[in-house]
Amino acid sequence: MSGSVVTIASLKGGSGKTTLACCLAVHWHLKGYKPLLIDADPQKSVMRLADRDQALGGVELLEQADPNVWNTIKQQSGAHGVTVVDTPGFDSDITVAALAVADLVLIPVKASPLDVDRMMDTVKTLMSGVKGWAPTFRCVLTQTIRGSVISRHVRAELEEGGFPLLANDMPNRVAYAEAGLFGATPSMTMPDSPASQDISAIATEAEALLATKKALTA
Amino acid sequence: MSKRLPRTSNRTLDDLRKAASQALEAEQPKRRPSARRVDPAPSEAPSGSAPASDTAAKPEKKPEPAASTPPKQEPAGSPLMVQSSIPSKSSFREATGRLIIERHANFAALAGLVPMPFVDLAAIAVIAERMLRKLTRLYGRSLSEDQGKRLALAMLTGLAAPGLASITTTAVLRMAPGSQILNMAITSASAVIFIRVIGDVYLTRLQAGIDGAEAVPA
Repeated sequence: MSGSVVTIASLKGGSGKTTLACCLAVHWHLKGYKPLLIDADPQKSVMRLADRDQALGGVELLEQADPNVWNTIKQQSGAHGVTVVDTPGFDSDITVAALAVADLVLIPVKASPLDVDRMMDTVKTLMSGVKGWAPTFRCVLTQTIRGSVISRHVRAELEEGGFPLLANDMPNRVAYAEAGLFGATPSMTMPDSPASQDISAIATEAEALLATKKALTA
Repeated sequence: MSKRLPRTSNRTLDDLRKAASQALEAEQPKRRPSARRVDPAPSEAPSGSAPASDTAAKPEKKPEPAASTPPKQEPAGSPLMVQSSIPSKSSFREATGRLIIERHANFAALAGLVPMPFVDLAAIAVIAERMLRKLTRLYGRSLSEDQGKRLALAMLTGLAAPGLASITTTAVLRMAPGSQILNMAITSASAVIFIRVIGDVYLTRLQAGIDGAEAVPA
């Protein structure tokens, strides 16, 4: 996992990019992986969260919301166990630049038609963005309601369409917003909570993907 | 499922792959003269193309075969339009290659400070071999450890003979008492130049399409 880059990207705002990026970075920080969390979103959501009391548990942060972020990621990733990049929720050179250097791209997508549509645009950007570079990507269903028909429907449809999905969702839980009030994530405030377990499961899947990719390219 | 829900999208991952590769193929001849040029809008969004996005709901469930579907161009403002100012694959590789060379030159500077004659030379040779293998891998080619060692040795003795002479001389000088720090500084500086020369030459060969293994002396 050393030196790996995980970019969280979606061309749709409000899909849960920042929440997922912060939760993964904090989870890996608590596991001692020495992560770097890069805020490449001009809205500075990560930095705003880190300004609060618990400052995301002291995760190392870097703010760079310009297309040269790919260069910074290349330079910084070697010194960290994993680099997590939060990207803007709109069409941007910054997103493409962050996709270009990713070992793994996670695309958060809500179980709704508009989100699925923008997820596909994100995948298209990923495939076309940097001329031939094709990082591994997975879609992550976010803000799902457990047991809802729409969640199952969207998952089944995406799988049928060939879109790779993480097996674990990031269900809608108040724990994220509550922890956010303290500048924290559920892994910090409630380590045994279901929200914390959801993040742990997603992180474990991401770790396995990164390990596989590393083994294949070694 | 208790409810029957309509599809959120008719696109599949294969559709997106085809669209991306068609866009890439269409763009290749235009990009060749100057890879970093910012393409004018007409190259990617011809006026003749339908303005309607392919995300629009269509009654057919299955997409048309690629042969009967003309290459679908993206409407203005779509994610594919984002690409022109970000690095192309070759410039991205070159920049990454330069980072690899720079990082190994820094290692070589440290290796040159090893206060033991010839041990420092061995360390510099190992660094050169590692750098060559990383550069080869960057260009998607393979170089075995044995080939890497032979190539590093050939380049060390052939391409940078003056540098080698300088390092050898300082190594011999170091055996004599006094001026130890000065000699270490000279070795360190020579090692940096040495690694940079080897890296630059090898990078140029890789860019010219010469396989790493082809360059290995028999």
